Amino acid sequence: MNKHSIFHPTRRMSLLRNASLIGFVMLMGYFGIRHQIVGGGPQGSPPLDSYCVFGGVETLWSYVTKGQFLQKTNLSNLVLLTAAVLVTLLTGASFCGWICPFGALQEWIGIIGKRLFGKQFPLPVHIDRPLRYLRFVLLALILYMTISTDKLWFEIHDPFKAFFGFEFELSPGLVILLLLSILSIFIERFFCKYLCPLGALFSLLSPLSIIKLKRQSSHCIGCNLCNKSCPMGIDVAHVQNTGGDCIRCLQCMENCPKPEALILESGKNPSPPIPHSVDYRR
Amino acid sequence: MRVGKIQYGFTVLIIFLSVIGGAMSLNFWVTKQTIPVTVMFSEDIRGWMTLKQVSEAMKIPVGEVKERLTLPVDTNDAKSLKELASERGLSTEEFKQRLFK
Repeated sequence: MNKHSIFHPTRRMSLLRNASLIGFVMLMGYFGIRHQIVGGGPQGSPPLDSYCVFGGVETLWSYVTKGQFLQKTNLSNLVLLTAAVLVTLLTGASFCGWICPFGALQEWIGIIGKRLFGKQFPLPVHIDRPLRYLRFVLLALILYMTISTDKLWFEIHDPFKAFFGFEFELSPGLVILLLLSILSIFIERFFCKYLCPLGALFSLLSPLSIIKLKRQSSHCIGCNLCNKSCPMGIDVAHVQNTGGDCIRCLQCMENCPKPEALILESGKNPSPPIPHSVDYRR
Repeated sequence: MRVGKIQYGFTVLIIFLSVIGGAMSLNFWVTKQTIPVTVMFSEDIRGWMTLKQVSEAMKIPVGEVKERLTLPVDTNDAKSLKELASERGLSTEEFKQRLFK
């Protein structure tokens, strides 16, 4: 069997991860379609917003201060947020790499881009580095607007809802979705790297995680295959551990020719500052 | 302690699904929307609400709801605003506004 095939015994982890992502994408699609067919309300099917982890972040302030959920959100959002935060605190930002349906779509579009052009087109470091802070700005803006308007302000701009909501009416969200889809062809996980507000939150929590992805420099041969395979453009080949930007997709581990060079290990020390790299993949 | 790749993947999924499963078993998993208790603005009225639910939320008779929405008297009370709006080629937002004129 071809070593690059996802069914090759050495790629069992990729098979499991992709099965998980496909499962969550299908589940979200099912919820979105069911809501469109059955309708909402007590007699119908819950809106997609009720199954959104970020909805938990948005509605948390309203719930804590007034004991009320924002329209279209519910207790399920807080349960999902709790689950995602627990996962992050134990395993790092693995929600992004193993569960997030929108991240999965970005990744798959990126694969199409790689097949079409034979490579990706990462941004130069001087653009990439400041642009990564944009998601923190976006997180702060969304939280501020949500609290001040007391509704899901981001809803009409949300590309996740534009896709999985299955309405496909002309809206800012649909335009953003189309733009992101085009950008993802050229830059892998563009939204995750530069715009995802939920990813921004997890990148702050991830360095506190119990299980860390570490590089053992004594075993590393400096082949840079880890850097080439990293969808988040992290300089895996030159750090002790991968830090907050890492989505724990474990592509670096799977592509590493030395099994001891990259390891998953539980440790107490917080990760060093987030490393950034994009040029390594050229 | 070392963690294998497969073991790691299963850990992620088990924790995530266990929290959801636990919440479901403790009845914390609530997704259904409820009828608003007080209605002050058109945003409080939802597209999924039936004429009967609108009348309950606004505390006015169904007949008056139909009158405000310029609907025939024999319109089915169980129809949702979204349904009625689309039958008339209107957006739900436009249709809801009629309730507050």
